[in-house]
Amino acid sequence: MALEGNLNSFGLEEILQLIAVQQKTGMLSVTINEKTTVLFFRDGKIISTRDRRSKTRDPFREYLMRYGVLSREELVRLTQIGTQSKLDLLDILTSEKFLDEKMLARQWRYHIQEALHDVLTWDQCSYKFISGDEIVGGVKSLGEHIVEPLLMECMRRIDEYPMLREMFPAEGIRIGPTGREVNPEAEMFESEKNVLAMLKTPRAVRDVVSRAKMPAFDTYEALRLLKDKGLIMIEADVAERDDAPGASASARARRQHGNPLIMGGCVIVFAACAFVGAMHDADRAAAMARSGILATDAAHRARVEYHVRWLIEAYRSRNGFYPTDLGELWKSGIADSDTEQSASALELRYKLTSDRQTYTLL
Amino acid sequence: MSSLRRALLAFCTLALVSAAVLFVHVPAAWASPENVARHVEQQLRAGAVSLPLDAEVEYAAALELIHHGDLTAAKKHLQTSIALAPHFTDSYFTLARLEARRLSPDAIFWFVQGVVITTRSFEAQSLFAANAGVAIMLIFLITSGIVWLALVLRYFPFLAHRLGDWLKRRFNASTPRACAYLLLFAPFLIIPSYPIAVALVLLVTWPFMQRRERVLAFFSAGTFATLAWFAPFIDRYSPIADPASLTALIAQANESAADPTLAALIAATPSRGLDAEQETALGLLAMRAGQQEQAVGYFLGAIEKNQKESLPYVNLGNVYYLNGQYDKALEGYRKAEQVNGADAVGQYNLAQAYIKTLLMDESSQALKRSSQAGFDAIHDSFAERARDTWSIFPRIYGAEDFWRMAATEGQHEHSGVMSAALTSVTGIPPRAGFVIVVAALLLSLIGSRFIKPIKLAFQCSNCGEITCNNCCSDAHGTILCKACGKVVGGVTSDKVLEALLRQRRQSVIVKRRKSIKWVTMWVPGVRHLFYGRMFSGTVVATMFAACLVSFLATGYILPRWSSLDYSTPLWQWILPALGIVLSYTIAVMSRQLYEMRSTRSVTRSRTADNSDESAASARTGR
Repeated sequence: MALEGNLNSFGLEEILQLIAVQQKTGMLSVTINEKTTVLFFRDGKIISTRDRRSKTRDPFREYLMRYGVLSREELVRLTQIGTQSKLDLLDILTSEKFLDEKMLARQWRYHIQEALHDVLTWDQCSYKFISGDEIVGGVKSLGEHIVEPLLMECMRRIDEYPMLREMFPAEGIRIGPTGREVNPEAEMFESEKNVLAMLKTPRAVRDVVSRAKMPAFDTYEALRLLKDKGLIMIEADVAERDDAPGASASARARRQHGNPLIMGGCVIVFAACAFVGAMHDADRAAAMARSGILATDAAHRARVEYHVRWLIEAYRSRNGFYPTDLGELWKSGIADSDTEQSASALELRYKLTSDRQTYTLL
Repeated sequence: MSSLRRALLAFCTLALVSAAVLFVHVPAAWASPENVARHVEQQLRAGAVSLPLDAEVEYAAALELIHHGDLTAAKKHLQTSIALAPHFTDSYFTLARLEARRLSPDAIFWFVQGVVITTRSFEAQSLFAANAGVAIMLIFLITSGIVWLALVLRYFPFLAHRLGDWLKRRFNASTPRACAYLLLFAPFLIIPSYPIAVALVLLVTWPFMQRRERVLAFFSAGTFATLAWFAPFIDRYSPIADPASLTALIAQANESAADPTLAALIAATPSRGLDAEQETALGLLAMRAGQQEQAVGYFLGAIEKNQKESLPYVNLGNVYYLNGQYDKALEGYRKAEQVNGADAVGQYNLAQAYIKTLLMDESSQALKRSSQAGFDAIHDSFAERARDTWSIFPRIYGAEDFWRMAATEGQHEHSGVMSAALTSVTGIPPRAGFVIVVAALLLSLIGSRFIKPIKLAFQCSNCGEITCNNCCSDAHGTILCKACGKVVGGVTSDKVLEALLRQRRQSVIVKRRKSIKWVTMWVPGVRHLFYGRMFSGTVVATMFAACLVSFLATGYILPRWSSLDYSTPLWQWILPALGIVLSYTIAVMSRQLYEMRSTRSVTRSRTADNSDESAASARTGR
């Protein structure tokens, strides 16, 4: 069964509440323009936003990346492992302990909260809910979340977020510590403590957001609270972040390529050996190619000579007389080219006597 | 159409047809039957026992007729050829082929006759033995060459890894693996010879080999060493392949007509332990030339040198018989009977002498003994025309006598056929080759006891890539190559570890299979041997080697010197070519799924690590 429509018929909040109340299991996909967010429900609770049919985009990976939950090295490693092992991101995270369980569950909740918040801010979107247990069969999750509290928190955020953006209008503005001591009696949230720890030196807002390990709203909220407490102040816009210097790259490359002289030496040794071998064995190979493997046999000449004599006698038997010269023998078709070549190589000399009754072959 | 045009058209047509006929078939010089008949008569008058030359001329004419489709005439020529020289085996097999084309059962008869004659004829035996010896040697060398090639392909990468690793560490060489291969192959080029190549491969790959490979390598090297050691002993039979040897000359004199040139050659050739046989051959030629006194002198000389041989006695009796001195002839035959009572020709001639002296009872008994001793077979071995005119038969040597003569002569002097062939093919004299290979085998056996496994490269237990103690990793309880170690570096959970290793293994194995497929497909048998299928690999390699030798030799490696030159029949090309194609098909189509791995266990590696400080320090450094 599918339920679909757009915001003209029912608001997304109503749809979410309906799913929650009805304790439906299925997938709600919300689309605006070409952007789609998917929410998976089991018994009316949100379990995931990760649609693994779409292999290219993993919202949780993007979340972890966007807010610096994992360090750059950890993300590279995570990507590497994922690519090489074909394991799911959640499996790797839980197996490899990139984050402890508590932290992972918290980040999962933050991520779902943000995804929901994001979806609820869309003005013109369409939605489609497909129910059924098989839809969520292979969906991995790190926790199930009841819709109502999430929805309420989203509403609060939607209300407060414009105010926060007003306070910190650009992501490039620089925020630094005021130098005022922190009142130990004043109550501080964990998020505030984290952000304050990051702001010991001035930083751009986007820098803080991307390293705060929590959703942007929470970071902005922490910044507001810290600002209200007078612990931080807005300094100025900052330019783009510094890039890592590429000093001595060429030197490293040179070191990596190694010493080419060794290769040259090896080539020279190889060529020298080939040259010596060719000089040493060229004659033998040529002789073998010319006359076969038995050319070096002491009886080779005797065999060729005897064979030619045999052919001469056959010529006589056919024609009644001996050939005048060996050329006549070759032309008669009695002998083939191999015999002719062998006889030529051995320089056999044939002479017919004047009475044409005998001959000499030497 | 005008008459001029018609005439022109007829002339052009005739010219074209004539040109086409001449172009398509330019007949070879045909033998004149009169010339052949005249030659046969001359030879028979000169006492020829068999006429192989004229038989060959007839055989050549038969082939020409077969080529032109005149099978009946060809058959007549073949039968004439057999009548002229019953030991000329080619005629039998060609007749069998002709009859087979007609689906006649006579084909079987002629084929069997051909085989029987081949086993009796010394020429056929010697030609077969010489060719078989050289062919087997070549097939063995090619097969074992394929075995060594497979071992090189399998284990040289191990050596190249270790050498490349050393070049990289010691000299920071660029492209160290290529440098290593150049250095590894360079020694093969200095003296390119089979024994040195075998020795080098044995020495450097023996420590890496699996047990089955070692067994095959041992047998391969051992067989070569045996062949090289015994080549000089086999050379003792070289006179069978030397037309200038006394054995070959006596074999010619055995059946030929009177030939003063041949007699002079035999007389001029050193006897080399064949004094009696030399005298006998000269006696036979003198007898055929009608030089009775000289013949008697030669036969008496032969008897003086070897009194245990019946042949000169029989022929001495023949000389007296032909002179009408029947009593003396009878004496000669009786003496022959004393020496060898089973001499069929001697008994037959004795019977004839008894008839001449009117001792009919003795004659019939002698004829009976002659028949029991197998006279009919000997009778059939003479030319038909000759035996029809003779009352007594010359006693000539049989095939077994020539083998004995070849062995005796070979002990004194020989042309060294097997050694020469082996030297030609392997590039080093056999005994030197024996020493090199045996020394390499012993050094390999000894060396494998002393070479520490720590020094050797081995295969990654996961992906099978080559690694060594300097670059391997055993951090995860198994010996992994550098790449696998990098992939699983820092991974703590077994699940991820296994998944990562599995993925790498699959990707590497697929790539390696492809590369192995390309590298090993060029020579049949190499892939089987590479994957450790020793028996099937050797079988495929042997089949390929046999077909290759057969294809290149197209019949004979050592050609028949007393033969005309015939064009090679098509089947002698096609059959071996099909064999080569089949062996390539087997090589290309075979799926080799499982590779023998030369891996190392963790405990062994760790134990070895403790004893190798440099390796340990290298690992620590990494």
